[in-house]
Amino acid sequence: MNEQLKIVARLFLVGAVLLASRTPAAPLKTEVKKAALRRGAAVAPLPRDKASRSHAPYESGQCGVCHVNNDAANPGPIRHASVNEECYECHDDVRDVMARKYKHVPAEEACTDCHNAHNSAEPALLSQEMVELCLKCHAGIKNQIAKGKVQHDAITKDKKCSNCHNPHAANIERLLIALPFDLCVTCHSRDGMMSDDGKVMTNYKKWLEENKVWHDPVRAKDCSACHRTHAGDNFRLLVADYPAAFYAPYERKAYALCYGCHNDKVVAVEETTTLTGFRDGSRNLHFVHVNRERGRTCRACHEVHASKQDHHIRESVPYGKSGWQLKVGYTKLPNGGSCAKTCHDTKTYNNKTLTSSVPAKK
Amino acid sequence: MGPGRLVTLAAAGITGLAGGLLAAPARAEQDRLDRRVQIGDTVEDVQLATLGGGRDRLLAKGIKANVFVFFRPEQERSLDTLKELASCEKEFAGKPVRFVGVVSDSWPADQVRDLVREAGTRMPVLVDEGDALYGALGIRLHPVIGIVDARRKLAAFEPFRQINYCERVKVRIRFLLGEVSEAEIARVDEPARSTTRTDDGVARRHLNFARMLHRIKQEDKALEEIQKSLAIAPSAAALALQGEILAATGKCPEALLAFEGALKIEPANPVALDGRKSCGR
Repeated sequence: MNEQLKIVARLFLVGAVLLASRTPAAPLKTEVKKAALRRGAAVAPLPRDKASRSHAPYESGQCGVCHVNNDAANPGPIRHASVNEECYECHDDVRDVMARKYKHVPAEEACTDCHNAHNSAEPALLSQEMVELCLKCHAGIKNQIAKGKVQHDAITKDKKCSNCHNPHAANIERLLIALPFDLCVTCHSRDGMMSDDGKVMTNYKKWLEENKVWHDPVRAKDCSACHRTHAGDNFRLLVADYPAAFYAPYERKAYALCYGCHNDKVVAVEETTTLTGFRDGSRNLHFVHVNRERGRTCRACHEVHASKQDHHIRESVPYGKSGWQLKVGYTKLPNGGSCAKTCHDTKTYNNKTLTSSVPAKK
Repeated sequence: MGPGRLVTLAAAGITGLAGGLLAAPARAEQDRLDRRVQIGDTVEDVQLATLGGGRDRLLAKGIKANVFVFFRPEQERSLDTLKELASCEKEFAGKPVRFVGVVSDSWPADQVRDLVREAGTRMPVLVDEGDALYGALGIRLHPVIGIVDARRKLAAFEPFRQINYCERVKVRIRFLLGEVSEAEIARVDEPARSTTRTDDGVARRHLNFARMLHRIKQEDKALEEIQKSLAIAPSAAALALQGEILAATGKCPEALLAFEGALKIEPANPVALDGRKSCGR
């Protein structure tokens, strides 16, 4: 007995060390409980009054379609050793689906991990409500949804999780049905959609049709590069901090969203001849605009999704409480550009001259 | 930029977004604005100091795919990308593919070493003094992966993607190795929609269910399921099974109609041909 206790203690110690040495999960990745939680759970028929949907063979009393006996009183075991092979006898289209590259492990292992083969109160004969069912294993997503200040309606409306994911298998990572953008515009291509904070949301199909210079993640149909898709703490479900206001004091952390890809040195260094074309000589004009106590945030000059002008420069900026639009007046020039009198007097920059235009410090 | 390349770039842009919901913008023009080195341009080789203390080249000779990645510490996406490339290194081991990392000299060497160690990559890491190479190539983002072909032409330029990033990079390397066609690149860039329920699939389910019912001698119910299948998507298989069941229940005139229907869709359908014989034709 003592020997057994020692072995258990050693195993516990090894487990504890392994757990302690694990790198904390990155923010965008979430914990998944790999064990199939429904394995061995009841798949017996629900009482008729509790079920709103029935599987056709069960409803018609043809137990022998799936079981060895066509006798409701004594159906016996199913005809195949594998549950999935049993299901594929009729659902052979799902066998084709399961040939896709990215497979959902429970779907590979046993259809009954998620479906009740007899009847159910849920669509698609799910054994319980879809979100609850998915979150039983996807604990990280559950945590995000429980704690996130901003929730994505896509999780709770229409087809819920399967608005975006194929719970069986997909050609795209994360079991996505299509590339993120193609999924997002399913909803975000409507006029008059309102956010929870009462703001009108952009019709992105229309916006992108009207503005042909697209931000790279948009071109790549990769909305999730910048937006969380389940829930989050930042406005507009942004994956990281981004100043909500037109003016903000410069702080690297506040621009974490943009610096997820862009080089923070574009703003942080006063002089450069390599990091940006928005410079006069070597004087970094991003630094001039942003890196100050009352700095102009990225959105003061740039559209984040799409614009009509090069470098995602916006045509106008909202001014004052009424949101009056003030033209930016940017013109691209062979060696730089100019901004007409708007926020300041007309100014031109030339990035081909390599001398600094910063007045020498005395 | 010559007119030929403009056409190629425009075509590439249109191909890349073909099938998408929205019309393609002037993608080639956008790409041109985003960086100085364009797809198809020659990438000049440079020799830089390495993290290990020696010197190494950006591009190696005799290699079909030189893959470089610009990355930086303190960025989750750089770490993720290096980890994915570490697995790529193993996948392409023994093939004429070379991976190299490039990092700005503004980052402390120890911090870069820690990142590379955590990612588990074995690629040499070049130190870009004063971001000179970053500026010369006109790169604006981290991480970004460039792939250069055997003629030293830039074959691909891939900024970070949250979804299918590694797939996009790998298929482009495989293309340079001659392992896949351009069609495969298009398939990875615009994957087929991954739905489960299709009309054809539902029709097949009804037909298969009919087969199961036929097996347990529930012929009337089987015929009902066949009707459901035919209502969604008429098929030779459904009509042939319908004929088979009707023939088995002594309804040869109706069975012959079903067999003829099956043979119209699939003239060599063996069940229908045999069934027709069994009904005396």
